[in-house]
Amino acid sequence: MSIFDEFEEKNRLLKLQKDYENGIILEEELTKKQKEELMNLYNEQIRNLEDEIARSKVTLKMYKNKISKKMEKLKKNN
Amino acid sequence: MDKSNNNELQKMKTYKEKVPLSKKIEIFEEFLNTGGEIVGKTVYKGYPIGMWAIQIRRKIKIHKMGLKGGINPSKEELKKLKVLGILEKQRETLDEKMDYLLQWVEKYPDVKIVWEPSAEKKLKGYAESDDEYNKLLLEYEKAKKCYTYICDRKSRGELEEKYFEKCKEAKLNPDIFGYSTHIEELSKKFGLEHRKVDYLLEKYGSIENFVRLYRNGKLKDEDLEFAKRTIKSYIDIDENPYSDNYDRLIEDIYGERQDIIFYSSKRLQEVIERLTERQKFMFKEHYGLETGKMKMFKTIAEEENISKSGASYIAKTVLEKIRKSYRNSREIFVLDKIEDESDFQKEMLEVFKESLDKSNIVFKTVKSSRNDSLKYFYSTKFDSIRKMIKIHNYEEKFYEEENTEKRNLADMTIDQLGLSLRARNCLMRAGFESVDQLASVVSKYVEDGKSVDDFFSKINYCGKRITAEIKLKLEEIGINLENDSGLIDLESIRIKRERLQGELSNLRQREKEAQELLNQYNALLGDNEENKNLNDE
Repeated sequence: MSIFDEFEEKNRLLKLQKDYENGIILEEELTKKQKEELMNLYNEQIRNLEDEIARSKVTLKMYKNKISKKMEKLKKNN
Repeated sequence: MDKSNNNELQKMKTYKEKVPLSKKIEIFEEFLNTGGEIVGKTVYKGYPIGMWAIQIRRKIKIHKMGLKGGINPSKEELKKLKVLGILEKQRETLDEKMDYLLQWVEKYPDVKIVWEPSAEKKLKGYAESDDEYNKLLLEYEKAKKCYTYICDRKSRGELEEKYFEKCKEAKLNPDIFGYSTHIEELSKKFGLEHRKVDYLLEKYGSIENFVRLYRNGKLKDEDLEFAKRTIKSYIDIDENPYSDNYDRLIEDIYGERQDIIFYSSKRLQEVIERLTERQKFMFKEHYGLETGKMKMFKTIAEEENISKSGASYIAKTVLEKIRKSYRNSREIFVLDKIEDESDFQKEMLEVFKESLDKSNIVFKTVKSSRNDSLKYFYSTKFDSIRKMIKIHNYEEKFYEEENTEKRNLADMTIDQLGLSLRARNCLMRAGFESVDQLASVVSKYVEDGKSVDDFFSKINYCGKRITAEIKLKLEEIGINLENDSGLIDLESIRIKRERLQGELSNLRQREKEAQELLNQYNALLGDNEENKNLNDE
């Protein structure tokens, strides 16, 4: 499968997902294959989201450390 | 018997003359004119007329059947025989006999109808003169005859039920006719012999009176021993003399939280029977279940030459055993507020009414720390309920509507799952004791959008292999944790993604806020370099 084909396939799936979420296509109307594809897409998105959440949590922790250090410095200066 | 009668009998024995039927009829007429009755043994002027009457009836029957040896009386003779009443049996009916017998038993309850050597002495006590005594003797013999006749009939299986029940109620002979239904019910309820119940009822009126007297310490030696032997095995808080001891035991089992507990004594006894003899001894001594006196561990230990800690350890292990046996059972339910009758209580009362005839003992406890008026209120309330309940399967009926599978799960412990030792230890260390508990916690975890594997990975020493094993075992019972979470459902997956998206956006906003806060601090400190570095990162 070429890159263009993959891109088209993904676009098609995203469109299907949008239609499903907007209620244009019901779950009962989906075929088994479409359901499986959607499930995989959702799982992939969830995995990506979980990764992003983990990353953002790490950065938040970093900020927290920095802020606490700054606060200590400020207290000392005062 | 009179001398004249004896002579007549002697004549009868030597009598060989054949008497024709016409002459027999004349003799019958003569005898009946004197006002006598013809019975089997009546003899008149040396003639055995009683025997004649029987023979005539039998021979006429034989002739009618067409056999040899019968007689065929003429029409005139037959008429005369009919008028004299010889063709019919001149016996008393069964009803008359029964009435006579029952009247006799009522009149003279001390004198037994069954053979008794002291009967004549007892009858003398009733009679004032010799004539009366002779009369009484005759009546006694007649009553005896009636009794033997009824007994014969019973042994042949010809006694009807109504007569049988009459004999039962009159306590004629319990070995043959059995005891009354009331006595049978009581003996079943208390697990006593029929004779003992009969004895108690005669002496004390009711068994409740007997128990009350026992509890108040007013029984004499023989009865006291009898009561000790019989009543102590009957664990009912209202009727057991050591109810306070059982109260204490129940408090130890359930704690002091509950006010009133319905409690099946059957199960308690089952558990006690399963213990070893040493455990049984220690347990019963400590709570005073047999003697009524509770003993400290110290005194038991001194008596048995063991350490105090050893004695307390044994008793505690027993208590734990009992607690475990009740942990997941539905047998107990607690009523906290009796005053306002809730729908639950009404339902319960209905169930009690339904299971009225069943006979399992259930007993109650009232928390001792409550004030007396409240205690009295509870006890009276429960007495009224008690009248309605003879519960056997009340809990089964009550939970009939519930799903049976769920009920099985509730009863199942982790040990019963059949896991490997490592997996079992993992779950036990994490504090799970029943399957129901585990399933509920996991489902809550999954509802929050986390996976089942995540849950198990948080338990110490619970690796992938163990989680797989636990999942498999649960699936074998019929619990699919992932199915319950709804992860396979497309809609739920979508919801999960949206939830994660929301979470991410929240985190990003917080990041922004944190960055702004950090910038403010940097501005305050004048440290711009670090800010630059951070932005680069």
